[in-house]
Amino acid sequence: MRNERVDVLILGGGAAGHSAAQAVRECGEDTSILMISQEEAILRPLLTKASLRQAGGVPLRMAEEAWYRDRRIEWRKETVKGIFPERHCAETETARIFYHKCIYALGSEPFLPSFPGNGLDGVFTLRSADDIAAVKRRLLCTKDAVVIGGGVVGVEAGELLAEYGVGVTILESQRWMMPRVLDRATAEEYRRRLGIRVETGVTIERLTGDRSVTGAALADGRTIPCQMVIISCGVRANTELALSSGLDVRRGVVVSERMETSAPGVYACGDCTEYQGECPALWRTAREQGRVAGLNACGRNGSYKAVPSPILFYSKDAPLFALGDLSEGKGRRIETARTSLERPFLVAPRQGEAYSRMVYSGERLIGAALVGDLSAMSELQQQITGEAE
Amino acid sequence: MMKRYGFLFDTAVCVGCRACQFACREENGLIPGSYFRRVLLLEPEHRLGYTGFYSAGCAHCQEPACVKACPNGAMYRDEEQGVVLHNDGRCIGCGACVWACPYGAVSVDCEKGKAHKCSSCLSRREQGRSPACTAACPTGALRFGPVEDLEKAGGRLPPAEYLPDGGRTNPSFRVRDHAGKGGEP
Amino acid sequence: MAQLWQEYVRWHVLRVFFEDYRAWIGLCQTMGLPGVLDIQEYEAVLYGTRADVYIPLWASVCKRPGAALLDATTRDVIACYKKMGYQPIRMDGNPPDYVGEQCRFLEYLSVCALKGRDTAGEASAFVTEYLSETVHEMRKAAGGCEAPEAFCWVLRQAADGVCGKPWPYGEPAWREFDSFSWEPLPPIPLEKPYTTTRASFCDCGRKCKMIAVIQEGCVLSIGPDEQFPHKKFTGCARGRQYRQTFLSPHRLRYPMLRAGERGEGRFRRISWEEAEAWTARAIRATQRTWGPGSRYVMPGSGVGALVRGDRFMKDLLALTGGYLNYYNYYSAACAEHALPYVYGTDVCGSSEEELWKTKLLILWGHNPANTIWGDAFLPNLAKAKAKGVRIVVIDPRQSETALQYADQWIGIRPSTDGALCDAMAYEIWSRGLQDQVFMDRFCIGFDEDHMPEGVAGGESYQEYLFGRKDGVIKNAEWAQEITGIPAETIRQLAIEYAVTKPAWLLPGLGPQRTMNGEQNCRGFAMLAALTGNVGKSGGGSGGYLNRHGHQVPGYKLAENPYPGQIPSFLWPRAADGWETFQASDGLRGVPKLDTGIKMIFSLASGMLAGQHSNINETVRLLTAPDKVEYLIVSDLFMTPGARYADLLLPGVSFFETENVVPPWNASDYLLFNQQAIAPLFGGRFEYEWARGTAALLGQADALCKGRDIRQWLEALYNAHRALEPELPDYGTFRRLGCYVYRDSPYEIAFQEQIEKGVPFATPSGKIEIFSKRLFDRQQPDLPGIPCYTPCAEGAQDPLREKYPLQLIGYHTNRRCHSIHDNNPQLDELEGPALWLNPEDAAPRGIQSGALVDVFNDRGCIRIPAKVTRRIVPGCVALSEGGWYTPDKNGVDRRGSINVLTMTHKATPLAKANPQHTNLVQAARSSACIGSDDGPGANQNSSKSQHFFGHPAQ
Repeated sequence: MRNERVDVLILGGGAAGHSAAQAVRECGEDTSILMISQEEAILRPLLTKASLRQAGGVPLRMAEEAWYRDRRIEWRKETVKGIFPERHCAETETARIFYHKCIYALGSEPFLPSFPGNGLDGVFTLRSADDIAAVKRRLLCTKDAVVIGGGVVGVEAGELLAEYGVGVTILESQRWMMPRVLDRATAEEYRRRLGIRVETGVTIERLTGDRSVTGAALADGRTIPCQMVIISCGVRANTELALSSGLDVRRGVVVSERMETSAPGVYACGDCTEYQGECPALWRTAREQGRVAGLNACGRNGSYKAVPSPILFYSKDAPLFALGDLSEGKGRRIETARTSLERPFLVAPRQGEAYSRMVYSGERLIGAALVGDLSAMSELQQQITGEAE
Repeated sequence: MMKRYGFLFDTAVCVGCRACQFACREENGLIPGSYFRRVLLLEPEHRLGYTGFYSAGCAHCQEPACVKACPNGAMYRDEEQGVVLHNDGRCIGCGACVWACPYGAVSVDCEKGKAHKCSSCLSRREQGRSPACTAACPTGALRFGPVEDLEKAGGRLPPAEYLPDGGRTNPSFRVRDHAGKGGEP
Repeated sequence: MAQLWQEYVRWHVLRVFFEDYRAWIGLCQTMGLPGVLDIQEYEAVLYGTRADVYIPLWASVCKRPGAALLDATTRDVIACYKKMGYQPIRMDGNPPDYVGEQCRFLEYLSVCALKGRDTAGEASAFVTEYLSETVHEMRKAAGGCEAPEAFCWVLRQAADGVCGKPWPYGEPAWREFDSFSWEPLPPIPLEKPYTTTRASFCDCGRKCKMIAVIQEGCVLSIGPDEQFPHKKFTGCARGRQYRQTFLSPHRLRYPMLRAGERGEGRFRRISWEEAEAWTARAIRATQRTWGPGSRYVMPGSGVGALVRGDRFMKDLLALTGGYLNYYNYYSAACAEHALPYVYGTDVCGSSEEELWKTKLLILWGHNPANTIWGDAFLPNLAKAKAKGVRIVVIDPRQSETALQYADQWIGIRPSTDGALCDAMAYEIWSRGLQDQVFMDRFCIGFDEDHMPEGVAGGESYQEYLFGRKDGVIKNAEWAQEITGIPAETIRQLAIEYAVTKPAWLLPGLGPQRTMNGEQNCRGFAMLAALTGNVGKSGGGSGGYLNRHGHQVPGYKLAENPYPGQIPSFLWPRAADGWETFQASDGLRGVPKLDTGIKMIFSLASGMLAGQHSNINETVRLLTAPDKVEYLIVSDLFMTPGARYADLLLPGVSFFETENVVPPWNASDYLLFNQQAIAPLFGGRFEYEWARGTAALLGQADALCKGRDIRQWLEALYNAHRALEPELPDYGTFRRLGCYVYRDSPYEIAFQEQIEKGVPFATPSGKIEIFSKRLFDRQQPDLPGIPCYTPCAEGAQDPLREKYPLQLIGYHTNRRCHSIHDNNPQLDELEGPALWLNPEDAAPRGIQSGALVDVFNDRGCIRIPAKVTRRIVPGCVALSEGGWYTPDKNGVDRRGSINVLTMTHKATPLAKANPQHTNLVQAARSSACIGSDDGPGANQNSSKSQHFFGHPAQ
């Protein structure tokens, strides 16, 4: 096993790790940076946004080789076996790497609910371009598909399949879609516009089939026939390595506002972290946390402020924007409206109808949601966050 | 040196042939229903104070709303080229820019899942040619160049009656309005 | 290994299916597969032999909406092939991304894998990117057209192949398959892209020099040559869509013979040899049975270039006994006939620079914003506008020109232009604003003192105008009643036209495409002479923009042994009703016809059931027994006319053959179109099969003179160089692609006559306001003077009780005539719509976007309404060129205006097409009409009881 030295070691090259690396390089030209990842970083949100027609032809890489070369960031495809914070080193199969600072940015894994059948042929999670290609190849033998999980990614996947003429059913265990961010009325409006069949409040008992999936059996006794299942039940932070390295871990690696973990010299950022009890697993969060971790790793002062991040979902039939607190409550005033905006001068024509819900506490706007035309989005965002973007 | 380029549209000589719209589409390989430029016929029913053809495109604003809205730095103003560009490599397809643009110039490329918009035909400009839309115009109604030149040719900020208030994003787009006659072509 | 042979077997089976019918049947028998289908079914799904069946079979059109054949995607597929050492064979002329070739490629990869080469990754990637898309689209289409079960079975096998499912029919002796002997080959280098110079030869008023980028036989892009130093080419929306229009997957693919009733659209595939033999037999039979007068070649403009099929076919018919010829095209016949009676010629136009040398430009029924008149018009018009020339547009519609360029739009009822001319003349003359010196010196017929010999008194124009003959003064009030234009407007226009010097009255061809078109042309000329604008810079003759310009290279037809000629508009009469066809109907060359038309060639022409009037009449004619016996159509698409063919042949677009391409008359340049790619499928340029047919008739040498197309082009070009010595040698011209004449004459119509006293080429040597030749015909609708003549289905026809709305057509930039209607993308420019004024829409309960029925005794069209003030009340408008698309009840759903235009009457002098003179009614479509329980699938029924009556609600 060879020994190596590096100033900043970054574990994981996704949104957070990438952002961290950029921040570290911007701090100083002389810092050596090594990034170790198990896979080539891709813009994962795009997996379910690019039409399946073009699958295989769409560049998904987060950055080209030149990006890393220009910034003298060494990138290596390997698995890290252990971190030893007391000794300031990490070990892979082939090397023992001594670091000055380590940034743990190992992201998250899709959460696989444990019902029987989730290993059958035709059951997919969507993490890589290969997954998408496999879905595409199976499409021609798929009349109906079930998407488990009614979050943004699940809905996007459902829309991609529906575009292909597949009969899609989205199964959501909660009483309405995205209950953590949407109120019921907005969720119903959203669901109505989607035009895809959505079943809420359902529990899946198991997936049926011999080798190949044939249906989803629900707790209420119904079985929904299908030849493809997409599991999109959110993510779980990758904390195994952190645990075995003795870091403080709850649902994610616990970090301070400077992205410090419980181990000195080790920072963490992105999907794998838990900050103030929250694991939002959002793109913006990862980018910002990565930046802060990188700053602090070079001795600058960076501090992370959890900026409320809107839900922003672009879709043909049901674009969705939601930010803040949308629930009813004492002293709150709710305003819902349907407005039609006629703007014939637009370059790209848009459907003009917007459903809006605004929640006021006293005179202050504390939450807003839009379904349909989202043009009012930035203004509402400014009002709620109280700062100019 | 900060450059600023934009399009000039002459309402008096446009014939509504849509050569610009289709030249843009072929140049950028857009599928039907996608537009970086679109010619509209604004009619009295629209109550916009202007009746006639209007070639709508990206305003390449000085304070672009799309750039402000982008969470990943994919939209940016290129000071060397003087226009607003989109870096495909950084786009995550959230669509914030689409809604932010008051001109509707940004749309989502549903094939790639990313945003896309007019780049002022950068590759053509690098060869010393003008954007495809301007080269396609048979009457010289659509032109492209430094904003000072557009203003020297009689272009003004588009009237706020039929386009969004320029004060919001400081667009580089100019309109030559002929209520009467006169002026060199 | 099991996996490998199973894949191999599947791809092999699929490839054989898509490659050859007989081999497929054999394979099914050998292997016991349930894929047997009739040859008709097979041809329908793979050869396009059924008009209503279309299955997309190529990766490019399956992968991206709106894509063309042989585009960048096809090139990418070829790149995949060549990377693995596979050279595409273009099965049956198909583009290389044909599903059959895709399967053959995968078959090749399987053989390579069985022989030890690792191709799994490539095969999987190819399947994911291309085959899956193709199969997906095929399945969608197959579902939509109730494809035969066997074909659905094939598609399931293809889907299973994509999904990687095992082969379920047992292991055949796959080592004995023909392809098992294939060897893995090294990569083949991809050809580099290169440019070719193009000039489209479909009908177009301002043909551009274009550049296409070609790679591996694919057209990656096409656009105008922006960098050509001698002329600015900008292209247009249609030009940018040439790939999508002409390399459309709906192209006719192989020669076919009718296999059902005429119009059913059912055909069977034949070989080119059979097609030529069939044509030769028909040519012999018609000569033998009915004689030369039974053979007719339709006029058409699908190939607007030097070498074109219809001319060769005419010559072949001439060589084999003769044919019934025609005169007139549908564009300018009335003007071509009428103007010579006034000026001695119909070449009455001036150079476009005159547009900004005038002070007042009256565009009368002229919409140059849409109808492109050469490349110089619009830029000069823009300059005129910038210079402050006052522009007035007279048109029933506020056209794009009126909207964008005019200072004033005067809306006029159709077919009443003559009344406006008369009233303007009166208002000018009664105020003494006429140019009396000019009139006295250069004209006859204005007043009693300047009449020709041998005509009784009282026949001059002035007598008519001032009411001395009929007691009616033709003043502005009189014209207001007829034209719908307020009297004050008429007066102001007249005075302005008289006092503004110079002023150019420039009509388009709209006002002469009416039943009184000839009189309108004469009226415009009269006004120009009345005001002394003729022959002056900035003035104008009142004639349309037809000037000398440069000679256009031509092909001299061989002499036709049969002298008979009919006006082209009356061809149906020569097929049915020929017995009474005589000179007064326009028959020339023979006193009477001794047969009806029995054989029609429609080569690159949209006339048959599209551009000619009264489509339902044509349909009745073509489906009647014993009328037209042989209908031979060569076209690119299953046009409405093509459906009726007996012999239907696939032509080629300008991408697939070369030609010399002249723009419309008077342009100062000449273009060459290089061939870019090989003909699609089994397409052939008409000359090729005309040659083969001629050989069977023993006329090959006489027709072809031993030349192929290339040699013909060179010979004709060199002959043309004698007339235009400035032209370079042929080789240089071919290479350059465009020659712009340096020496283009500046023309002001009749300047010589006015400035130098050269006589006009009329009997009197003067401008004949009164024409004795016309007067002597004693035809009430063709008087000696250029006065307004009310006409059948015009503004004053009592038929307006029943059909109160006047229908006109207009040119839309979404098409050029009927070209491009097969391309749905151009609907973005303008979709089908009936223009209606709010005053007519409101009482009918019609709103913009609502479906309306517009109908008369001749037929019915159902399309959305466009309610707008941009058309005068009492008038409705439809764009011309839409393809006739009848539903089950014979109601056209695309807005094909010729469902409603008339054929029973032609214009009095030219015997031409009065396509803007029609009366119709319009009503909101009620829901029940669209359903199947209409009046029955009787395409001949143009009258439906429930169309009459009152608008709903």
